[in-house]
Amino acid sequence: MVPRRAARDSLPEKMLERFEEMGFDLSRFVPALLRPPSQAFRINTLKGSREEVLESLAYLEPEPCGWNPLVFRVKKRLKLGNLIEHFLGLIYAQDASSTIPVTVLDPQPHEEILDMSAAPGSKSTQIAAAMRNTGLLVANDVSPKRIPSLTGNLDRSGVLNTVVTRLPGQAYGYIATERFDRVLLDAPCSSEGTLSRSFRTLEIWSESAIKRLSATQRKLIMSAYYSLKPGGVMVYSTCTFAPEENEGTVSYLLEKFPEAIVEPINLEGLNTQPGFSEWRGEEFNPAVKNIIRLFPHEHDGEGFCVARISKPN
Amino acid sequence: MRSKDLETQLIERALSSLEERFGISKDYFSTHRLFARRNDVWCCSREAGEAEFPQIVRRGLRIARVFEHSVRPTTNAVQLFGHLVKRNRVDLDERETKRFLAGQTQDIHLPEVEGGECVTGVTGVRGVTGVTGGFVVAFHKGYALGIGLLKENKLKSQVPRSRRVLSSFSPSEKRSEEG
Repeated sequence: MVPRRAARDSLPEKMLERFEEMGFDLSRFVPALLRPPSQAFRINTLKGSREEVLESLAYLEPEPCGWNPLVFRVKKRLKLGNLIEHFLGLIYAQDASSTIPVTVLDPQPHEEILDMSAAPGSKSTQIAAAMRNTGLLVANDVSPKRIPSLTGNLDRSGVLNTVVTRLPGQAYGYIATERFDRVLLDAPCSSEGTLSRSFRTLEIWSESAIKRLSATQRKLIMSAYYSLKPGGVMVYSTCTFAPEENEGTVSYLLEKFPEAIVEPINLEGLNTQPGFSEWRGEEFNPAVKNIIRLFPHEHDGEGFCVARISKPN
Repeated sequence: MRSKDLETQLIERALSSLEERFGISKDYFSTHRLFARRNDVWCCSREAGEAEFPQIVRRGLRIARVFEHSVRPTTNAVQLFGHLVKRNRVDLDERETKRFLAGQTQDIHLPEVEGGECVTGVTGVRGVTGVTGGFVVAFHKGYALGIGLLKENKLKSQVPRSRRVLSSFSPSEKRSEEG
């Protein structure tokens, strides 16, 4: 049984060893990893304007996140899900880091976009808002259990431009080859970066789980790339630190499609680190240095890893 | 299998009801795709309406349920289209809003409503606008909260169970708690 509040002692020895191998100073890194980051919310412009929502929530003294004018942190401890603004769909409570992949994807109105692993919908709703409810957003998730949370959040956010599908993400490369302008693959991962939110991660964490997830991610990233139009852009993201699931997966794609471009990401006010160049003797493709990594001891948010990949015309 | 005619009729009934009862123009939906599933009318973008994929769970948003004698817009729809509502809107104060979000039925004192019958067509006290008995849109501080059923001075919240909020607070109440 995993305790709800974990301390350093409750982290598996193997996990700590890996973190040390990644070069983290454990005395700073582990406490930050286990401490919940500031709460954050994103303003849903499908329901209200930034100005009116900020006026309504001024008493919370929200602090803007530099990289996205619609994302704010809240230092006060309260349940954002109980606010009337949340009920109305004016805000979406989500960790600040988890708003980064869609910010990097930069969806545009009237495009066709695939969110390959969409539940519970925080990123799908962010994409739909950026598209201003136009065009087509395919919000896919393979898990029937996770579909209700996805549809519930789409409903609350007032999303009209979405088709929800329940397919293995691997299928899209075949059924929608070169169809989408943009693809988001927020891949299923070992979730090391979200330990402060859910220590249940520890129940499933193991090195063999990382290996298994990495194999799935390789299939998904291939499918995502196949489904992308020439000239299209995809974002690959995870909420884990494991290099096998990040640089390893992106390197695998580059091995299969050397023409794919891992683009640099520049977001204002974000303290990021570049992708690792190697892990346990395995050298990654040099282009993975353009991946951004977010660490909880350097950034007020969960651990995340984001790559922006374009497909040449 | 539902015939296309029947589907068109259902959509037409829903749109006519939205226009007649709430003043939401049919034109608003002209750039969208509307379709019916069983007794529900759904709305999505044109592109979402035309896309074909295997294993589609749903498209867009359910906007109304059509009954034999009435049409009830959904909470999600009125929250999205609420700014277009011109009549049969009832503004609630903070205490009433709290009850409404919790899914409760409450007494509501509207001089214009008598016995749930159609009485008035003018703006009255408390921001009540052209209210008649039946489905109304409840508002708080200019935002559409959802649908209520108004009958004999009682407002019955139609907020679905999954969306009810039992411990919500409004900003001004929170401010006074802190003060």
